[in-house]
Amino acid sequence: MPTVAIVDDHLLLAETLRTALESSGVRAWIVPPASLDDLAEQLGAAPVDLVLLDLDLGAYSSNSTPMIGSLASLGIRVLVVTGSLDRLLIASALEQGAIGVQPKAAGFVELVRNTRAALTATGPLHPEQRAQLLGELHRARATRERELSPFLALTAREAQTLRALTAGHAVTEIAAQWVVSEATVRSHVRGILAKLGVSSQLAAVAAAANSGWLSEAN
Amino acid sequence: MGGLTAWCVLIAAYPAHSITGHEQLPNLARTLSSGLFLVAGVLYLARGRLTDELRTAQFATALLVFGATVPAVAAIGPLLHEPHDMAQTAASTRALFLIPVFMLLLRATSAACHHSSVALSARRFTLEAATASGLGLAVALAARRLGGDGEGRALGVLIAIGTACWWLLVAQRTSRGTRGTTGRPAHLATGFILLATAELVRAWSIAGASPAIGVAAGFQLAAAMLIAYAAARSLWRAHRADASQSAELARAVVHLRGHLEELEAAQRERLHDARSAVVGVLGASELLSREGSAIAPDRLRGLMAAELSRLQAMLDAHSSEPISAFDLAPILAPVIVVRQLQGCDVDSDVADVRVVGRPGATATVLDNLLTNALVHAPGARIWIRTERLGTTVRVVVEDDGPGILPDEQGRVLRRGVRGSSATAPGDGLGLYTSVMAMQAQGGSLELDDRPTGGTRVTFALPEALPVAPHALAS
Repeated sequence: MPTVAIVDDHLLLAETLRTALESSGVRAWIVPPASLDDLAEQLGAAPVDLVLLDLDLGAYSSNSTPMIGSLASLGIRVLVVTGSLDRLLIASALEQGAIGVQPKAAGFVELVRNTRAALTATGPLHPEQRAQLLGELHRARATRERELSPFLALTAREAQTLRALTAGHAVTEIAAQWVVSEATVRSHVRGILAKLGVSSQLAAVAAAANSGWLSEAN
Repeated sequence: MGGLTAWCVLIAAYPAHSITGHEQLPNLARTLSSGLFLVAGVLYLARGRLTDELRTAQFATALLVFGATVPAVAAIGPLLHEPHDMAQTAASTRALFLIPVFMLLLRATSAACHHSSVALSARRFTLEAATASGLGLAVALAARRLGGDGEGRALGVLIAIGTACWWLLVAQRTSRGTRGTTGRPAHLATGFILLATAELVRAWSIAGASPAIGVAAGFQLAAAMLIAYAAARSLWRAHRADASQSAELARAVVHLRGHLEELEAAQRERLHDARSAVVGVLGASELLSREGSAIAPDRLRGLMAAELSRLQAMLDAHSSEPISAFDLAPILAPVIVVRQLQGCDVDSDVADVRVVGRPGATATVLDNLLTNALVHAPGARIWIRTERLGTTVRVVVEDDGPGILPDEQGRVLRRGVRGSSATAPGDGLGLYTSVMAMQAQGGSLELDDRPTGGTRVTFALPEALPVAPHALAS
């Protein structure tokens, strides 16, 4: 009898799914949400054929994709069940080794049917669809790298200056804070403007915020 | 002022040495001052571009025209068969100097009539420039008509008009200065006074005193220097202000962006929660319609109620939920039941009391507290009980987990702050939002140690007054 582990912080969904699966001859086991390390350990120790994994585990983790890799390396098949429609998030789950993705938006009946399908060797996801999703992910990554590349050219001091500017400090304040001359800070600013290809400090700050460099660096 | 004194000394000393120098020196001063007026015009134009003030651009235009008039008059003079000497220029040509003066005067009066905060439109800008040019040309034509015998009288009238205009500008400047509506330095007013004096001295020169021509040119040069200095200073100030404004704007951009990202993340999470709830309820109804389902109907009903109340709490923002009297136990029960079903060790003793507040928000607060306990004190036992204290009802939630350090208890209630020893994930918002939710409905939330180890959170709401018997009867 195949065994399915349900990892979801929505107890009603988990419970109804378990009952529906059990009535169709599949052993189902609800794993209460916990930290990702605990979950991986728990699932790795149990004789599980398939894990239905919610990508958002509420208070524990808002993104459980990192766990998919460790489960996949143990030979456990992971079907991602998610309420998110973010294609890049779904694609990165596939890249981590998930065999497929089942959107919660598709409804309960579909969820039960696809869980059963995921227990068979072929899995629920069409290879073409999978390739398309992964292609999207790679394209998005390439775009992102292209957007970030001018920021990688910044020296450490220039990056610090840009961060200070985004925090709303003027050049004179930065110079006073670092105990350097204003001319030094201005030369950093010139370097930033040249490397980012913008003509004002404001444009540089907007570029830093828009490219996501700020959140990436912090 | 030093420059002016030096110039006067130079003029006084010069005629003694050479007569040609006496003529060349005033011409040099005029050329220099027209150059300085052009520089000042460019600087004010730059300031206008920096601050997007059309009024400053208008001032700059007048200065540029003023600076350009000297070479223009020098160029026109020979065409009109006039001698190449400023002092002897015909009244009609001299009238061209009035064009920029009229522009300044029109600008000053229109700025005084319309409140200074009213932005100048580009159309008005052109209209005022055209009016000033028209007036100047009209005066020039009138002076030409008068020409010949009336030349001397025409010059006198022109000088009178010029002097009057400069003094009007001075008066307008100083009155603006005393009202304190503008931070402009008094340099401009002094410059205008010098220009007015130059006009008067020029009148004297027409009367026949030749050194006066040089003195008039000197006054003009001093005025040009002052105005150029004022222009440079105002541009520098605008530049500094622009830099600090940029910094302020940068802060705003980053803050706004972070705020948007937070909102988006919260929205995503809500959508995810809502979808999960809907699929769960759909599944439950599917199971209920099946004959002989393996799940106990009571359990299913409890789970459904909990999930639906979670959905409801999500849909109703706490603030929009009306404050009313409600029975505490049935509101808290689904939250507690769902945790017990999840396998948590929750011991509950909620009294049969009626309180005043927001039922949905109160249930969410308890849910937050239980989630906190679950995440930060995994495996701990939790006790929930109620107690009456005067007219308030307190709900006490205790656990036997590791607890929160005493000096951190005040801190963790603030937005985005988590305990320093916290290892489990969390955004540090749960306790803060709970405090806010309780305060918004007339309650409170406090955090302290459980006497025998662990954490104790107490939240309180006013007790609902019992309905008086006579109210029931009527």
